[in-house]
Amino acid sequence: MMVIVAITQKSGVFQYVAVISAKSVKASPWGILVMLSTVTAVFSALLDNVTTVLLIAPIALLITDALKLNPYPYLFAIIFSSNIGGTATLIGDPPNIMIGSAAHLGFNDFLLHLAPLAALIFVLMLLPFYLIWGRKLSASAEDRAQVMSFDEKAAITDPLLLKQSMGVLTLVFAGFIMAHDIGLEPASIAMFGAALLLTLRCLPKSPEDQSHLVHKAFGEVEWVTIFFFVGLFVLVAGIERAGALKILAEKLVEFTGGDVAVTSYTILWVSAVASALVDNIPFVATMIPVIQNMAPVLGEENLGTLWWSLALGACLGGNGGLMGASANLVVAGFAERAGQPIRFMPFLLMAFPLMLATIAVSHVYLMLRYL
Amino acid sequence: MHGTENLTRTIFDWSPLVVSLAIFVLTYAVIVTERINRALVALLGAGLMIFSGVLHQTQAFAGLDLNTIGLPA
Repeated sequence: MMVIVAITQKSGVFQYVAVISAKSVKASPWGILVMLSTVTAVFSALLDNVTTVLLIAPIALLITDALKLNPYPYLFAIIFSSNIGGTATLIGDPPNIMIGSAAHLGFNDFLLHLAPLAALIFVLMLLPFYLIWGRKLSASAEDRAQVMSFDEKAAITDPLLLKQSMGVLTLVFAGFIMAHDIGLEPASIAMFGAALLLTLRCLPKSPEDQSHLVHKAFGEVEWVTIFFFVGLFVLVAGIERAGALKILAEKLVEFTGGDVAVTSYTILWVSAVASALVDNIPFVATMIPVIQNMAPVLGEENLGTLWWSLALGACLGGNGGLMGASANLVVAGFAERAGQPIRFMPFLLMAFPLMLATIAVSHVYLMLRYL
Repeated sequence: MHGTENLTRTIFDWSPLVVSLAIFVLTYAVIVTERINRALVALLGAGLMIFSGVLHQTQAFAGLDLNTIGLPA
């Protein structure tokens, strides 16, 4: 996906969407916050969170600078929206990719089970945002007029690339939706899409230019994240093979008395707190085999609820702290460069209680729908 | 080779459970401090899992989830 996104980005389509969003709400500060949050949530559901915030955070800073607003509420809202939006789909957040792959859950399963809740939580989150910041945000008339004068068409720098990348992205998303039913894995589809888009870009070029383009495109891959995954999976394979995870699963089942509901709630809350403090990826990598080891006791048919509990706890828990998700740190990086750094403790004090509220909503959802 | 179970033998015949958990906890602790790039720490920890004899390379690579690795690419 990073290869596809990095190429697509050069068409200017993401900036186009942002300018349209700001203008559609007449550059009103609260309207922009809602709009940017919505765009972030939708993009995060379809792309990975880091990519989404890499594209949206600079635009938020651009708009808040033009309107002379404090960017903090916007960046905070972008962090929350990216993690909530990412919860909705198989490809939205790394924990979901890992869970989907291990539990053989497809794109549509996540859409049916998690997307309705993610949408609800997103709407509910706007209330505290309004009470904390929204009602106090204001911008002068001339500043708003300046934002209204941004030309969204000027953002599109390469119309041909726009068509090619939108075509390939449509194919890839169609592939994601059908993958499970036709026995394909999402990674194969994303890789094929990337190769297809690169081929389209390369066709009219000389061999030298082609090799330059391909070299650059593969350089955009998130190698650090990928090698982090490789290391983690090997670490988890080690303790798995030594039998540690089986023992942990047995202890957990012993603690919950083998009750599916108690086990689900325990996984939900423990995952949320753990994912707020440490990155949710290593946590989920550890928990997946733990849940798989519970199958003999709790029954294969009951594992579904446990997977949703883990996904909700890990994805939403990422909102609880600045180090909870990679996307949070990317946003913090932008804030620092803009001279408005997001500090660890103040963020924690506001984000952690809000995160717990989203977990409480998830708890009720699990109770009503599955338990 | 090729994942034959009895070929892996833990270093000094220590319990694989203790050795693997020690490597795991140590690696996580270093990742959380964020003093060293987390990808490097995870790869060093993965190396220790293999060198200590907990895992053979084949078993280590069998633990990789190809969707998780392939999608960010």
